[in-house]
Amino acid sequence: MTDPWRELYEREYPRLLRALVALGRDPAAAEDAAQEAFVKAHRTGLDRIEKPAAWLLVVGSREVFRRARRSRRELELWASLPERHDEIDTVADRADLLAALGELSERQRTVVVARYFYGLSYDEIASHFDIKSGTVGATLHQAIERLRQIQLAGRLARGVMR
Amino acid sequence: MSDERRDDEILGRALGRAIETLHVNETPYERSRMASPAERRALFGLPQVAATIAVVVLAVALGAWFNSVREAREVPAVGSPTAVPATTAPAAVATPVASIDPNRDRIWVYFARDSLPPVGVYLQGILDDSSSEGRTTSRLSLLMGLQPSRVPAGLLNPLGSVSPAVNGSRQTGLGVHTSGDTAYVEFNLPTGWGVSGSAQSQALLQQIVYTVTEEPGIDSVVITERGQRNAVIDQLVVDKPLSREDVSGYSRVSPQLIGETWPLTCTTPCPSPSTAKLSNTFFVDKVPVSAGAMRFMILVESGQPSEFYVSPLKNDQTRSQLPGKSVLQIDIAGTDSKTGTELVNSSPLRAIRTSVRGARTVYELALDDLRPWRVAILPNPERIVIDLGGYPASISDTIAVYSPGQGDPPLRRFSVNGLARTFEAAVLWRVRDGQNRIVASGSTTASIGTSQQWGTFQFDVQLPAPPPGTGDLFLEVYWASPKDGSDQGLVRVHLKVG
Repeated sequence: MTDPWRELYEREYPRLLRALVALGRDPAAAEDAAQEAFVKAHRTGLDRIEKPAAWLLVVGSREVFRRARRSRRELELWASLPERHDEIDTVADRADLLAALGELSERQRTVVVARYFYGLSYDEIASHFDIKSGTVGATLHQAIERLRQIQLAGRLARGVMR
Repeated sequence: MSDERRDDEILGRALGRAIETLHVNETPYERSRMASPAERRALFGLPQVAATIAVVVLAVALGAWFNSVREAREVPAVGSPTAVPATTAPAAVATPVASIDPNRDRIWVYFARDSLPPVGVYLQGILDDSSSEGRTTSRLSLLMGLQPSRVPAGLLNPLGSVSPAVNGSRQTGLGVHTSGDTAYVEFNLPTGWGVSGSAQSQALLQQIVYTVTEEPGIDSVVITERGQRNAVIDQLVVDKPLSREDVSGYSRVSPQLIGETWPLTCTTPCPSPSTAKLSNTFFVDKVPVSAGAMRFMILVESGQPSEFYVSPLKNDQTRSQLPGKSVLQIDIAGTDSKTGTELVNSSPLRAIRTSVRGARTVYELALDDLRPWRVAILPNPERIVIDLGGYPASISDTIAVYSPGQGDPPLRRFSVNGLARTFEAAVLWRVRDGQNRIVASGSTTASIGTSQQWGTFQFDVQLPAPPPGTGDLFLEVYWASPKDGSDQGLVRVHLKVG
């Protein structure tokens, strides 16, 4: 017999963990938060959670931000990534983007991850994250614009503009 | 869609891909907090702790009566009675999944050896089996934190001297990332590598490269120090991807990467044509070969195989179900009654897989690495011998000295044996003292001369009396070029005092 919790865990845990690492820049805190999110989901009960994936992201991201505020740990995740020189989308570019994400406000970070990593619609983001539906688009645009500026600055600083 | 919106989409998707490539430690379901009551204890919030304390007080007050109730409820035995109040355990996790993989608690890692390539052994430890990076980190961390008392006798653990950075209780000194067949390992070592001198540095490098490439699919390692593009271990600069063969110590001998066919001609009277009956045996690290060497021997019990074929192959561990990085495949006419896979796990020989196809037998020797190998055919009874490795300094393209070994004590009288394929089977030897003076010399004849095949040789050395000082001696075995008499294939065995 299929265990629905196992199924949910194996389907959603990797994605949730990556999202939380990107949001909080602390792999250990992200793992704690992801585990916590699943435990909370378990206590709540699957029948009471309409969209488990988004629910887990909401709970997990809150937990990550709460922990970050409390501990203010700033781990340089990408410092452990080796340098490679792919034609496009290099590790350095990805590291720049992830670093830039960390410079955004918590709300901007959450909206960007929900939209571009989870693929949630504007309406879904609005309802799950308690944001006015009319402001999701504007928040996203401001966030991306800020990402672009920070990433550009990073690339200029490294002298790798192509 | 406006241009601006499209640009946003492009950047947003790039970010999504960046997040997708993040290395994360994916805890399997069985070890998740949700599925594990033991772990879930740590998550209790304050109200639950308070409730638990209340239960303890109650338990103390009610004594044996409470215990009997608790046992009746069949609460899992997970330590103190306060651990898991039965009433708070959700039904779905009351029976935790307990799938214990027998190999998960044993980790194959490598230790260094003096004058020899590293040797692999199993150690007790928990392997983080969630990813390639997790497994590699487990292996390295086990060695870095290993108590000296757990290092097997005669082996060296230079990784035990490496002190990685820690942040609170968490080790942050090791970053592992894999891409294709290469692992990238970054060390953050505030106090340096903890080794000095070229021998220790080389031993550490060997241990890291062998241990990291134990991961299936990983053939080479890029080692860096935090913030640097390379690593400098004492004075040893490491600035390129390294495979096991790059660091094994056999670089001066080509390991014969091309397969070879070996004709076998029978001596008259030839046995009547019939399928040869074969059996096999092996020796690792012991007589008749030396430390670091392996001998695989096929015995021809009856009949006459006409030829056999030896080919070195790369082992794709992700598909072949054999451990090790290389396979030496021997395809021979004849049948072996024993088939199947025998796990040996005696470095460098990890396993032997024997399969019979029609009237032919294929032996696959799964190996840690591809070391120089030699084939000899011994008579009475007919045996096909495949030797591999040995002391790197005792092996050249044409001479392999098995005994004495590097570092053995100098004796007044000792025997020398090994394999050679020299011009007219002539093998020359001399012994030098610590001042490079020749104190004894001689010659012998190997069982076979210049050929694909190696011949065996054995001779005794008797040093003149009185013994030449008390210092180290150097045994040199070589052959003379027929053109100009120069030394060829020279092997130098260092015989050490003390």
